Amino acid sequence: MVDLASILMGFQTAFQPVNLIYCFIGVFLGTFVGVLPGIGPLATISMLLPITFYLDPTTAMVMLAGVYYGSDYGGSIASILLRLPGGASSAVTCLDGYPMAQQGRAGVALFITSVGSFIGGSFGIVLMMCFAPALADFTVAFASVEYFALMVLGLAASGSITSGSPLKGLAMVALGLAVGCIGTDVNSGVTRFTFGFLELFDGVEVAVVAMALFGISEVVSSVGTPQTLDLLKERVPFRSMLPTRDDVRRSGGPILRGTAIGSIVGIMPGVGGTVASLMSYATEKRISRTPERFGKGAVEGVAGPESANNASAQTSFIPTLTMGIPGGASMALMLSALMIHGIAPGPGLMRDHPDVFWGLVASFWVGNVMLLVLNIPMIGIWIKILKIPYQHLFPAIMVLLCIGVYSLNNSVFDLYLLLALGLTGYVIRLLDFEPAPFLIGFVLGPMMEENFRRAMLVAQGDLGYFLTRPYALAMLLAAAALLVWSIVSNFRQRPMTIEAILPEPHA
Amino acid sequence: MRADTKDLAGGAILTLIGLYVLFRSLDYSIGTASEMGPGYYPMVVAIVLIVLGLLIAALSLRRSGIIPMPEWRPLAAVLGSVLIFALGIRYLGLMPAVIGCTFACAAGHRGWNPRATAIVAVVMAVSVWLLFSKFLGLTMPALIWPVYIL
Amino acid sequence: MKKIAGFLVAGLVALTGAAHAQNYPNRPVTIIVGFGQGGPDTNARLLAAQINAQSGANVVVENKPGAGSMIGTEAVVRAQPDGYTLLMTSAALATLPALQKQISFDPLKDLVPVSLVARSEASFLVASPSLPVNDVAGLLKYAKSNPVTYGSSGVGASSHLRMAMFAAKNGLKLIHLPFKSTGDSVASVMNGETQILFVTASQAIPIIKEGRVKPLGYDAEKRAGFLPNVPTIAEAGAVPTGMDSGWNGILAPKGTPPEVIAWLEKQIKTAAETPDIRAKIEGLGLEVVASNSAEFGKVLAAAIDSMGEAVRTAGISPK
Repeated sequence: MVDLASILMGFQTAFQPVNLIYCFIGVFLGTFVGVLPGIGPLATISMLLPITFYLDPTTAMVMLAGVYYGSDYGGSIASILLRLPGGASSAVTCLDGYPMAQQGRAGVALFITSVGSFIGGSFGIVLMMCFAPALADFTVAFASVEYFALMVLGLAASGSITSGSPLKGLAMVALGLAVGCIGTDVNSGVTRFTFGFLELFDGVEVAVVAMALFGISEVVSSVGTPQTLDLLKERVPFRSMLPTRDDVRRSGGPILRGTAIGSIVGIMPGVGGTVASLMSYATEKRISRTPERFGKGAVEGVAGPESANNASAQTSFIPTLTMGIPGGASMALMLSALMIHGIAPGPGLMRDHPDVFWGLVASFWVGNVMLLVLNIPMIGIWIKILKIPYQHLFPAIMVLLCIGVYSLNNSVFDLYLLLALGLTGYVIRLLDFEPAPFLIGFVLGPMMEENFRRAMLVAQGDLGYFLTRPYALAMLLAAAALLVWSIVSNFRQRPMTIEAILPEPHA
Repeated sequence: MRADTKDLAGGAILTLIGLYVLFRSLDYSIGTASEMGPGYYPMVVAIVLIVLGLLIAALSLRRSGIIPMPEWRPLAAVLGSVLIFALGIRYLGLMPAVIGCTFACAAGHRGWNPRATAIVAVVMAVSVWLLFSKFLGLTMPALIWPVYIL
Repeated sequence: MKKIAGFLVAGLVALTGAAHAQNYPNRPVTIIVGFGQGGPDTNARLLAAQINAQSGANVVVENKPGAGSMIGTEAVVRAQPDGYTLLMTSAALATLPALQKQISFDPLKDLVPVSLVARSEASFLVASPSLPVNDVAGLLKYAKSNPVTYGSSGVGASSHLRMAMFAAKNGLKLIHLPFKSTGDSVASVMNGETQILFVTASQAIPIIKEGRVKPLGYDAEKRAGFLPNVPTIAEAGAVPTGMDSGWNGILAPKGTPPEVIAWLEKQIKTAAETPDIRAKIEGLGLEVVASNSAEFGKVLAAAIDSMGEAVRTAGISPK
């Protein structure tokens, strides 16, 4: 199955100087826009699209793809340093990355992110090189019922993501599900809970939710504290950026598991990095012997999700390139970059344009090496951001945040949403609830509803349909097992009393 | 009466939101479990919200606790800076929006230095314009009023 | 200093309305696209780049997606009719009056057509490999006694309306399963979750050639040059939909000076017919059809009628 000659040809293409240069431009620009909150790969790719008209199709794709996976890396930088996720997938990185930064371990978090992303990405690429055609069939094997089952599994896994009271965590998931109802119902075309605003017809943008819930409330409490983190006043020696032996030991497993999760999830069109990083985080917390460290700066909580996110960023090219089915708007845009050059993406791409396919896949790896080489020396520079006095740093952040949110849809309305959700996020924080489960409910809920209802239409209302779909059944059983396990382990750890599910009284 | 006002308030808010969603979901057709209408799922979510909200509120009565005071000044400054940016970009253009946003947020810091902020604001306005409008090509006019400069 | 003075003069000129039609354009022209990136947006960007190159103007593209292009369209309707704000849209504009209860404008009264830009190739009716029919006649027979499901990229999307018209004209009862995107609906017909689908030529060809779906018919008056073996729907013994849903074009707010419209018509025509741009638009599965204001007006009016009928046929109540 492994086609060595083609892989070699791919590397030859990728190592052509022009492709190396554009690959570098792509990953550099991608990292850069990834750091800026809100300015995601989508806007950047569409801006670059006209330039690519005058490039060779392989070169064009190499650059655009570089922007795509480079921005994932950039997104984690802002999440770790400032608790400012550019999107939902990097919001997961905030959970432990930001506490690490506050403990003066931002360098370690960024280092682990680089390495984890590299390993995750590399594995995803190897998977593409060896099994792309077979995986393409796997892509199409998933119907609504499987997607529904996957979302249920995601929700079941996320039950563990809260660090406080499980009951309050559940309530936040439910609130996220409710906010996820806003917008047009896919199955009926009816608009729900739009309060008469056209801007709500397509629902609330997930990036706005992530930035409001995580970013705004953090800025508010940081503005309230004087000056900078004391920890960072002194010079940071380079050694302190390197992970300790203990960090490395703790990260290995999460990186491997995250890579596996991300690779699988990425193949399913439309699911993407958010679900991948979420599931990885939930898995790590679930199997950890010390789950109480999560949310307080556990390196596993950074390593796993980041690997998963990057692995899925790579494997999400599989449905796009081999089936012509884009997993998201960025992918759709890259497809049109190919089509403009008269290349039809789809099952025939690998046969008709092997140079494009293999050159692109090989360039992914080159790009990932560049990201690694580019970013490790940059860590020291990024950390210096935290040394800027707060009274200058946070106004600048607010400006970038506002521009980012505005530029998502060129919409002032999104800024009002940021305001409203930011206030919501602050109240959530004040009352000791957590934003992460909210985000999970918000992301998974609409997909769960949409696919369940469609599956029921396909099955004509017969629940027995689930029994005939092995993948779906397996995922639902796994979800059930997960729930049972969490209840049982809750019993084992402490006798199940009302107090056990209550939040710890605050001092 | 002893109560954790934090959870009492949180539970009450969630219950109210749940009631609102429940009430509104009845506007849409509900359908049946096998053929759900657009109102079915919001209705289920609302019921879950109400149950969880009531549970949280009820359990809060067994403990005591208080809601911490909100940090009014930073809160107003940060939310105000978003509002000023929104109005600014709508009516005046990018540069005034950035300058207004910077000042509003900086004013949230106790002991802020308006002079230093002025420098930050101008630097931000110029660099943001160069970066986003000129380099990244986003369509955000630097000024809309009184003259139009892209 | 000189530059600032220049801006001021430009601004003052811009403010004085009438005087500026002669030296249009003297500041950036914004083409608002009512959709996200990709699709009409790509056309707009291609066109803008070429117009800038050939005329020295500064045309920029701004995406204002949302509510099925209603938000972007509304922004243009409300803009100053001075030629500095234009709309790039697709046939979705023609569905809005029938589809949206909250519509605040009349596409025929509040906008002036400038020019069509491109038309897409027609759609193929394709079937899932697992559906036991191989042609349209077989489908008509099969659907009489079996439930048949079809996918679409959303309620009111052209893939939905087209199938609803097809069903109505051929006396079929089909079950509609809307998806969130075209990609999802294509995947679902490949894996057999849905059984038939109307899909535009550029997306259909690769999957037809690889045998991932079975082509039943081409919804056009004559066969497609790139797949000459596939009969048209009429040849295959059924009634075609006769829908014209695959165009996009540029409009301006009502009241835009005629000189400005004329300038734009000319620029768009020249740009769209540049061989390079033409080749790129064709690569996207579209055909360049730079027209003029009057012609586009006719296309739009006809489309509003036919789309309105399709929306009613599909039984969609306005939201």
